[in-house]
Amino acid sequence: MPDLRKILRGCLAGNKRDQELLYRRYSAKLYGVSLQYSGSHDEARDVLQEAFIKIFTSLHTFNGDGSFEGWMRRIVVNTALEKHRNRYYLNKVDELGFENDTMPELEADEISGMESEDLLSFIMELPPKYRMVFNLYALEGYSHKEIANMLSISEGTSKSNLSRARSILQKKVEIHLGIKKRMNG
Amino acid sequence: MVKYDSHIDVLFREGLRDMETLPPESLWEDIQPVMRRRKNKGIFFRIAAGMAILISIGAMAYYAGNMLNVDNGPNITVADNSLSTLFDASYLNIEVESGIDINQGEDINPAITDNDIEEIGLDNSELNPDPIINKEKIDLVYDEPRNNILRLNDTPREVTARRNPSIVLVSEILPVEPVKNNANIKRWQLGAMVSPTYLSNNLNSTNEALNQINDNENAILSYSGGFSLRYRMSKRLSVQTGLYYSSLGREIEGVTSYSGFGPYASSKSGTIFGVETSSGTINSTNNDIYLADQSANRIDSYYSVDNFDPVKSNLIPFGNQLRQSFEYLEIPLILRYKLIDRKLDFNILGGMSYNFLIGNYTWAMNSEGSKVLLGSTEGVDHLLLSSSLGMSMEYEVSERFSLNLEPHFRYFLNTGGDLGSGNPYTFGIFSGMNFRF
Repeated sequence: MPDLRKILRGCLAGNKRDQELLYRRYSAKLYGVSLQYSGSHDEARDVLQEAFIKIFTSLHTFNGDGSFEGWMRRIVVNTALEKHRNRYYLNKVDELGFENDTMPELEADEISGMESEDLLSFIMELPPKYRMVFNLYALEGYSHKEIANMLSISEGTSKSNLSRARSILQKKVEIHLGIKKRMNG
Repeated sequence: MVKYDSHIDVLFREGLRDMETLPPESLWEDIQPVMRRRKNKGIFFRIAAGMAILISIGAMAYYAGNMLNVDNGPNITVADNSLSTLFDASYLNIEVESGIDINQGEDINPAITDNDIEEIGLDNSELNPDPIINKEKIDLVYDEPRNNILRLNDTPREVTARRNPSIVLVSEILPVEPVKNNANIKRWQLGAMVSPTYLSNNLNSTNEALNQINDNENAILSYSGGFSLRYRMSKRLSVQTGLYYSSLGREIEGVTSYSGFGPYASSKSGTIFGVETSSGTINSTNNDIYLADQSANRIDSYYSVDNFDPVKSNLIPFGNQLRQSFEYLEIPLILRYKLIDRKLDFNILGGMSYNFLIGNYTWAMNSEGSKVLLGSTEGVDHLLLSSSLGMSMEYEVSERFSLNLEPHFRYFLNTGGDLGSGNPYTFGIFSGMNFRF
């Protein structure tokens, strides 16, 4: 497998073969990220296409601080957020006042057998505003303050959206596990 | 026991951490055209911006030129006793109210003194009409001046001898500047110029990979030359275009070339080696040449022979350098402003140019100066937009011929390559000669 530094240098020099090598190497992983932030495969495809164009055209700004994969992942996430903002900004509905569901506790071993494909489909089925907040908080590790800034919402909205997302995901997991139990038992 | 709400975060974080899903195969094919479109769109906007700037500058220059070329001044009535006043009346239409009957041969200019001569200028108090007497009007007509010295001793006899005594030749009574006849001004100028040219490196970045490429590339002295056509819009302002040929290039260090690779060379695409450079990727299609990188890992090989060992094969070392050459045809639009108007003129100039790529070659070089063509550089822009700034010293050899020396700085508004991050520039000192007509 060609050295990453060499591929990057080729991409910087405009070598289309190196650009394709870079795409082939990371497209599957970044498509997974893109799917987590999208409601459909078509949407994820658009996000990934836009993100790779940004990666190629702004490669010279990557100065080697942090991992290259992390840099690309941030570009994919930001591209997805951009699309989300453009799409949902006008129809933004604050969820202030939403009360957290009281969620039952679940043993860790009960959910340990979940497949990543199932988890992905649960996230993709979430309403976009819940999906974005859950991904940014639970998967990327941003704080509610940061998420509020990124999505142009209030911190309270971010918290309530997270709570709602968790609640929906919990139900989906329970239903999924219940079906599995019935199938096994 | 873990709280369910945080547990579900962990469940999804861990479950999706290394998830990979292959995107649709067609996605890669869609990325390239979009990148090309965006690049072309960027070039289009730059060209449009360049055109707008040029048109604006041209319009302003034309307007300024018209302002400077005042052909018809105000009509001024001059009292007869101020005829002796010296002023540059060549641009004014003067109507004289004369208090003297010149038909009677009286001295039209009896009162001219040294004091009068000192009263030079367009002081309104002197130009106001004197409402006195005899309102006979004399039209002043300019002829070719015979001298610029006031002829204090001239008598009106010279004037009255004319067929129409009411017409007075201004040159006979006033020391006028030579009348400028626009029809005789040589406004066009054809020139031929050549220049050695220095081309800067393409890349400008703190990126380590780019610096590694830059460190192994040297600008080489190239040359430019061509013909210029200049139109003089006013005494100081002129606009210039032309057609220039530029050969720009770089030397790539540390790439060793060997001949005798022919028996092993086989590639589906026709490209045997790809060499990364700051301008793009050199595609070597010369089957006979094997390339190896001595200082950095810049070479991709595309030959389809498995397990080729260059050490065991009979390759013959050729050279240690590659040379890229880019040939452009340049069409400039330059404005020139004359700061010093003497026998040795001094001008400043600035404008924009379109540069069309007409040649793209890469050679393997050896120390004896021999070269072998390898192929071309992929990803080089076919149209470059550049801005120019310079100065010009022009020495008039004769009325029609002049020699000039012009240091030029040219900054390219495109990066030159697909993803080059720095805009290249050139510096050259043009010299040549011009012919006015």
